[in-house]
Amino acid sequence: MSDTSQNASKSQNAGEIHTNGNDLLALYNYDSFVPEKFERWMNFDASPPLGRPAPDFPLWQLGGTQTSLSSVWSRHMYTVLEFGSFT
Amino acid sequence: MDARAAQFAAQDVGAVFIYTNEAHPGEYYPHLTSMEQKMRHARDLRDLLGIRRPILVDSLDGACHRAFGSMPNMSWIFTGSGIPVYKSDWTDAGSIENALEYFVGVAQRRRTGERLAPFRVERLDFRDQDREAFYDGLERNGPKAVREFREAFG
Repeated sequence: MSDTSQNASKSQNAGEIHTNGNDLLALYNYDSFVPEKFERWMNFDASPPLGRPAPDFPLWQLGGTQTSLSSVWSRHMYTVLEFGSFT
Repeated sequence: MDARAAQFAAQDVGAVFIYTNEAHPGEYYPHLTSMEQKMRHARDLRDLLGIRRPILVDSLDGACHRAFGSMPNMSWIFTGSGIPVYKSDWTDAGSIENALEYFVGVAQRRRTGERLAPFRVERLDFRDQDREAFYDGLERNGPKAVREFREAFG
């Protein structure tokens, strides 16, 4: 499952981050909440604009089944997405 | 947010939680190194913190999260055709409710024959700042998470 997800996401983000896959995994999944590690990821000002089609991405259900962002938003007239984690 | 999801469900509004990287890794919930671990943390979010909305897990490198700005607790609202109509760098139930009431109203107005054209608006919303509750949450992650946040923001 992890190999599949990593390969899929790399192909969707080619050129976005100029680093190899292992570096990206370690940088994104930073091990300490210190400014030099988390501030680089806070790019809300450069996020997709409202009113234009958004990019699609693979996502996984908790049981491991793959789905996609587009399959989520297409189920309802509107869909609220909250991003977050346990921590 | 679960209550808001239930409030609007009958009006064809869905709600999903997308699991990202760990914003404040600690001894009990360290940074992620595998999809299996990410799934485990996501299940704990559901089982221990009681999130009732469907939880979907992003790839380990955060492809989806990064594409939308990587904020640790942001929210977006999409139309059924994948057009984002609301984005917020923080999740606030009151702000979401306000937006959904407006968008559901737009759909109702269109059904009655009103001709509507979109326009852009910026707005600064305000959220509760409960520092004590926030630190309680950090303690669940481990002392390291508390210490690092204090060092970063006091």
